[in-house]
Parts: sequence; C-alpha cells; structure tokens
Amino acid sequence: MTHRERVRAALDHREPDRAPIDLSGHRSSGIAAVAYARLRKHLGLPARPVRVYDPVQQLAIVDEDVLDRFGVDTIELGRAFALDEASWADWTLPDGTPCRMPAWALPERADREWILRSKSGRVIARMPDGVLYFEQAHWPFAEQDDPDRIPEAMGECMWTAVATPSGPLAAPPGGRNLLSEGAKALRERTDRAILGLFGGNLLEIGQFLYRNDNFFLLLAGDPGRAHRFLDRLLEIHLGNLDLFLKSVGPYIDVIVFGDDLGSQRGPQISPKMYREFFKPRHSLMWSRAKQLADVKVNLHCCGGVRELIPDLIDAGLDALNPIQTSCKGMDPRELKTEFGKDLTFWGGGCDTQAVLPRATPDVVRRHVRERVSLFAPGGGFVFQQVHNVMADVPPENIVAMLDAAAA
Amino acid sequence: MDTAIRLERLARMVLDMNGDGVAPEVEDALADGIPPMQIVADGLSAGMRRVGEKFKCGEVYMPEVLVSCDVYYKGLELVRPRLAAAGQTAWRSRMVLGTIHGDIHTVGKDVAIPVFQAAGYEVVDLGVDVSDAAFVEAIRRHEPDLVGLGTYMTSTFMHTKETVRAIESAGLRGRVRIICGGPSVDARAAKGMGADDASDDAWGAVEMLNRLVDDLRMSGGAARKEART
Repeated sequence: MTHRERVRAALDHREPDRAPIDLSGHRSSGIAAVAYARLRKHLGLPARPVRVYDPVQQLAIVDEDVLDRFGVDTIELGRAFALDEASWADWTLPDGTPCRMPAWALPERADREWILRSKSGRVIARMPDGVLYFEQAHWPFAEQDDPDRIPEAMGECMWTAVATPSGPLAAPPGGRNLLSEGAKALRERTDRAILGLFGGNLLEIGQFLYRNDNFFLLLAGDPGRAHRFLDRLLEIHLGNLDLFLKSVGPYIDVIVFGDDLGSQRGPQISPKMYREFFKPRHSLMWSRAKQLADVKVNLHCCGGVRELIPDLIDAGLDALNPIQTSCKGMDPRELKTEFGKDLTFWGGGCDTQAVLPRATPDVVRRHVRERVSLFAPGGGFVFQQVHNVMADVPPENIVAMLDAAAA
Repeated sequence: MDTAIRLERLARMVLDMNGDGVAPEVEDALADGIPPMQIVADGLSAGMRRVGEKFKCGEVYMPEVLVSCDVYYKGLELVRPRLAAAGQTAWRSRMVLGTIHGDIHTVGKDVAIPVFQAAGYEVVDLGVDVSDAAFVEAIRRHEPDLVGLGTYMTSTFMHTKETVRAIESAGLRGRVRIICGGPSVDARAAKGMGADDASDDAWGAVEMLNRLVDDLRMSGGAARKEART
C-alpha cells in the first residue's frame, strides 16, 4: 500500500496493512524543535538546520529522512511552501540550538522573555525565559467587542495572527495561484496523505478573542449576542473555506478543522450548549467542505469530549483528534466499542502527559502496542501520540513509540 | 415572608443564573431584617454550593457556573456595605487571593472566591497580575492565614517560586499557608517551588484549605490567634 492508500483505507473503515502513522501532519501531531534536534542526533542523521515552522508552539519541520525512517504516512500542506532560504531567518532555541524561523514571524527579545508582535506593533504573545512555548498576551474583545471587526481582531490575537507556512506567501488575491500551484506540486512529489489545515474554530476563536471567562459568560448569559458573533465568524469561515478548497481541494486528502471543546475533566460546555451554538455551524462548514472537495473532515478537539461525540458524528465528522485518553470519559476500549464504526480515531496512540516523557522505552513500546491493538481493528484509526511531542521527551522514547506503532 | 423561604429564593437566584432577580430579592431580604451574614451564608453561598454539586455531577458546565458566580457577586455587592456596617466577621479564616504576576486570567479566581466564601472563608481579592511585592503588602495589611496564587498558564505557574521567595524574604512565610490554584497546577511541582499545596478544582480545594488552616494554627504560625467572631 502507498502511504496515501493506507490513510484513506483507515478513514474508510477498512483495516490497512498496518496502522497509518501521523507525525507532524498537522500542528498537534508535531514535535518540539528542541526534541527534534536531539532526535536527529540520536538517529545519527546528517546535521540539518532545524526549521521551526510554528513559532508559537515551537514545532519543527520534520525532514523527509525522518519521515522515511519511521514510515510516516502523512504530510502537512504547509510543507509545499517556504522552500526558499529567504523565507527563513536565524534564531536560537531555548536550549541554545541554532534554528531557522519564518522570517515573517520572528520573535523579538524583551526583558527576560521573547515576544511576538502583531502587524500593528502590539505584543500578542510572550515566552518568558525558562518556558518552552509562547502564550497569548492580548485578548482583543476582552473589554469591548465588535463582531463587525473580527478580521482586525484576529490580526491582534496570537493564535490567529502568527502564521505558519504558507502564511503570507499565499495571501489573497495574488497568492491563490501560489497556493494552488504549491499544493499541486506537493501532490506530485509525495505519496503521503496530505493534510490541509483550515481551522474554522468557533468556540476557540470566541475564547481567543474574548478570553475564556468572558466568552463563557456570553454563551450562558447573553446568547443572542453570542449568536451574532458566531454568525459573523461563520460567514468569514465559509468565505475562507471556499477560497481554500477551490485552491487546494483537488490536492489534499484531509481537511483539518479545530475547536478544543474539552478539558481534562470533560466537555467545557454542555451537550445542549454544543447543539445550540456550535453543532449547526460545524455541520454547515463540514458539509460545505465535502461539497467543494473529495476530502475527509478531521476535527482537532482536545480534552474529554465523550458526551459530545454522538453530536459530532451527526454533524458529519469523519475523524476526531487527538483522542486525549487521560481525560474523563476517554477510555480507548469504550470509545472504540461505542463509536468505532462511525468515527476514525486520529490519535490516542501514546499518552503524552506521563508515558512518553517519563516512562522507559520498553514501557512506551508496550503501551503503544496495546493502544494499536485496541484502536486498529476494522480500520478507523490513524496513529499519533496524544498531541505534540514536547521538548523534554527523550529521543529513545520517540523511537520506541514510532517503531512500535509501525510494527 | 418566612426567612427560610426568602433564603431559598436567594439560593435559587444564583442556581438559576437570575441576574435580574437577585437585586430585588436581596433588597427584600434586607428589608425583612435578615442579618446580612445570613443572607450571604445561607442564601447566596448556599446557591453556590448547589452549583458546585451540579458541576461535579455534570448537570452544569463552566459557562453556567460563571454566570451563577456573576449573580452571586451582584448579590454580594448589595450586602457588602451592610456587612461592614454590622461588623459581622463570622468567618472561619481569612485568605488573600490573586492571579499571579504575568497572568491576567480571572475565570478560576472568580469561581473560587464564592466557593471559598461559601465554605466560611473571608477572601480579599487582589485582582490579576499581582506582583510579588503586592502579595507581601497584602499579607502585612490583611494578616491572612492563607495566600492563594491563581495561575492559569504553565508559564505563570512557574512564577510561584519567585512569589514564595518574596514572602520568605519579607519574613512572613511562617505566618501563612500558600496554595496554588488553576488548571495547569501540579501539587508536587507547587510544593517543589515552596508552596504548601495546589488544586485545580475550587470545590475540591475547600478540604485542603481547612487542613492547612488547622495545621497553621496548631503550628502557632497564625498572625492572629483569636478566633474571629
């Protein structure tokens, strides 16, 4: 089977020759640059500049030799862009390793921290010394909202303003051709399944712009206003979806949406609230995506979301990520039994809170084998560790995990 | 109206997220002559306790909890001047609580405060992005038994070390018990940084507060030895 065939079989609920593996196919299956540099050295691979394509989470581009070493079956659409040296600038990782960072999103040094600024010059993200990723520093609607100025507000918010490749390289109007050409070129040079990261976040963008507490208060205390905001946001998302899929639809296999609906203790919102505010809007976006292109819809959705899964499936979801198995209600066996026929589990392959960073390689291997044996039968499973490999994960454990997944 | 019924109505305002109804209900309770402390403890706080029970069993979620907190605070603001005037301080203990330096999140703190008040703790809210010096000054001024550090991001949780150090340098460490609260906290890490404990759950933290206050009083470290009446 080719890599792409393997992933598509799994998504069609046909069990492939082995579980497909996703490493760095999207921004929650990646690897921190600090850990990646150590991994390359551990594998004895030739030294190459580490390119940090996601400055906020400090994620590294995983080179083809590492993807080949581990039999990775996926690749992010962003790998088609920023191939020239001019798109990158020198930087240094927190552990002193030299790296390259997108030239349009270079952090700036401040007093005992690194900062990221919006185009207007406002500080929108901070990474204090000793911390390994950026955190949001500004919430544009925290004091006063304006649903007619959502695009401007998104330009002042870390999560929506700091672009990963293709970033500004493919900005409309002239960039559409670049986006399309880049996607086509990637399709022609790889047989890995291509993931197009779209986002389309609803709850999360509410939280990113208003701040969590304010947006929760809006949802529960002023529903009319929340609906007005979400309607305006949905309008923006549908416009972007149209542009995105008309440009890259023929060349990608999976479109990745995002909306963290869960927490460690379960859903952040009730199923009733999900059905009122988000399900109809998710359903509209996901069905529109499938009308525009032959793609499967994957939702990145952190946390415990068991209670919401029936509605997510009903809304048209094909795959759920990252399957955070340490959260309440997210037992792998129960999830597979209850939802395995209707949903692809894209994740849950290795616990990243305790096992991957702290266990021995043997324990990691056993853990992964158990997870694969639970999730893989009948298809409907793509292996990835639960969320990104963080900076403190030993390279031996990363190797143990991925080799066990491919066995 | 019978006092028990009036207090039940107040509790229901909080539970039902009735922000419009709480003010008239509080005014009526005060007009009925119900002591302000009882309005808080057996009315508003009773409502918050029931919100906590519903949250624990998944009947309500964080958005509803926050609106209930908002209703609680609306009611409390009307009662507060009367509490001060009556000199009523039948609290179990006093706590100063703020979101730590570099962190401007309020959601956890805004839920924790009514929960702790419902459990009998007088809470002095220091706000957000509270500097180490401000925590030290608050300890000197308010003489609490407890210091609550709200930390809602991993990066700010790590600042706990500096805050504890500042309290130590001021010679105040032995007088208080320090707790970290927030979704990213880890009790082992918090203790490693010099705090006494940590909790990611306001309702679950109450038992921890009780234990720490008892421990402080037995160790003789409390700034004020007399029980508050």
